[in-house]
Amino acid sequence: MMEIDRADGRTPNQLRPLACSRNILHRAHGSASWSQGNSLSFFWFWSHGSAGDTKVLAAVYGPKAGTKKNENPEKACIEVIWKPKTGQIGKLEKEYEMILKRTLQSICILTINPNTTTSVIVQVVHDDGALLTCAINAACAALVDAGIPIKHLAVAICCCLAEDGYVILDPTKLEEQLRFGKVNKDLCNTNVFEHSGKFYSIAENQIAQEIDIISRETLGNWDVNGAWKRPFSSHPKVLDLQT
Amino acid sequence: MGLPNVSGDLSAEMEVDAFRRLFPLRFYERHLSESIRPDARPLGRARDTTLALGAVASADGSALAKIGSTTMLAAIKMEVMSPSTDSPDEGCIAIDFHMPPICSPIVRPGRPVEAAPVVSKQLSDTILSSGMINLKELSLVSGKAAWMAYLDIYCLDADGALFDAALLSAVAAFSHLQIPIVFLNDDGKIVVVSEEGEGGKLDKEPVNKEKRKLTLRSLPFSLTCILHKNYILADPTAEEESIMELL
Repeated sequence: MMEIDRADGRTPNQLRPLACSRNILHRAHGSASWSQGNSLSFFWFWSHGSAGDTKVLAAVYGPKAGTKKNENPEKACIEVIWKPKTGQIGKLEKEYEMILKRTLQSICILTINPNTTTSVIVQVVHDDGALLTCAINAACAALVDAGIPIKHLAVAICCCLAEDGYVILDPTKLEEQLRFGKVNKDLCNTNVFEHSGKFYSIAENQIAQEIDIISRETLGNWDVNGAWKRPFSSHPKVLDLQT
Repeated sequence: MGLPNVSGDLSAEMEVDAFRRLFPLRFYERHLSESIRPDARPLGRARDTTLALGAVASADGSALAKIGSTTMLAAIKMEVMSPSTDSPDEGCIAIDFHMPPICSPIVRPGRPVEAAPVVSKQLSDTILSSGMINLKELSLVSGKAAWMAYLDIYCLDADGALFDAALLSAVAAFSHLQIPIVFLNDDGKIVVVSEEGEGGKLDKEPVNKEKRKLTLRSLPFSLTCILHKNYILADPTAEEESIMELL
């Protein structure tokens, strides 16, 4: 079986480290934060462009009296509000709200407190891939913290098809975008170096390419006569060996 | 579950329609235990589907799709625009899904439906990621002019399985689409030739000689299913969707 290489060195089935804290917000009836990824030092954040973790904060208020107009008053109602990190609320946020609402409705015991509304507010703190799954996990932890009666826990994991058709778990934002064929315009970690009189440009997500330094035209991929198929490290250093 | 067992006493005396309104879940479960649904479909069968191309004469491409009672009207209008700098030889597609109040009694004017932006986003994700349309085919003059296709889908009757019908009508509209003929003006602008015919004014060179259709590579298709206890129902109606969702 072929192993594919991921940018951060994980195997295809490996998840990023998970972290969860509960009872963070004292006014809310229940709250939890869930993060997937390594939030290492500030240096990592700076040199790698986007921090390597997805973090979501969820708060639960409820049950409150009364249901909305189109909802069934014989059962409890769950309302989800999704707050993105930046920008206005658009179709993507509405889709996430609907998916999260249906998921939470299927795990809550809705007949215990009829004619009530429980509000779940999800705030995106940082997005580096697998955002909806992080939100589902955070919302479930917040419901547990609030003491809302639920049948069982909801667990979510994100799968992605890599470019060559292999399934990888817990993709980062870069891996998600490469699948859809969108070029990451905010590419960081690029470099140009010289070797044996020729010039090469390297980036973190693709194989090195030979370039013409005067016209800056790309002359083709450089795979060291077929021996090298991966991206290079983007900060090569020349060692000056003295014998 | 939490409901009192009133229906047990009255089911023998009540009319079917009343029982359907008062105890919908029991009504459906009586049918599901016999592996049939109230409209006599087996659990895995979809409703009758019809498709009509060219429903909107003024649009460049259009289609009307009906799955059972769910009706969707899709229409495409093409407009010339200048492409973005990072993809100078690619056109663009904008997809929008509308649910006007005509489609359902629960949709009221002024209050947008929850489902509409969700279906709209799912549609544009599906169509753009399926690779059905090669955006390079929508290019006219590289770097200067490209086609922008506005696809609008109107739901005329919402009776369940909205996404399936919408996707079907969108794909059909793209298959019916004919790209209009354009001329390159002296000012360097693209002019769309109108249908009334411009007789002998053929001193300008047309950019594309004849109306052409897009080549569609892989056609996306979808089927909505509902999971209720241990039954899987294919192509649910609106009544089934609203009842089973409350499980």
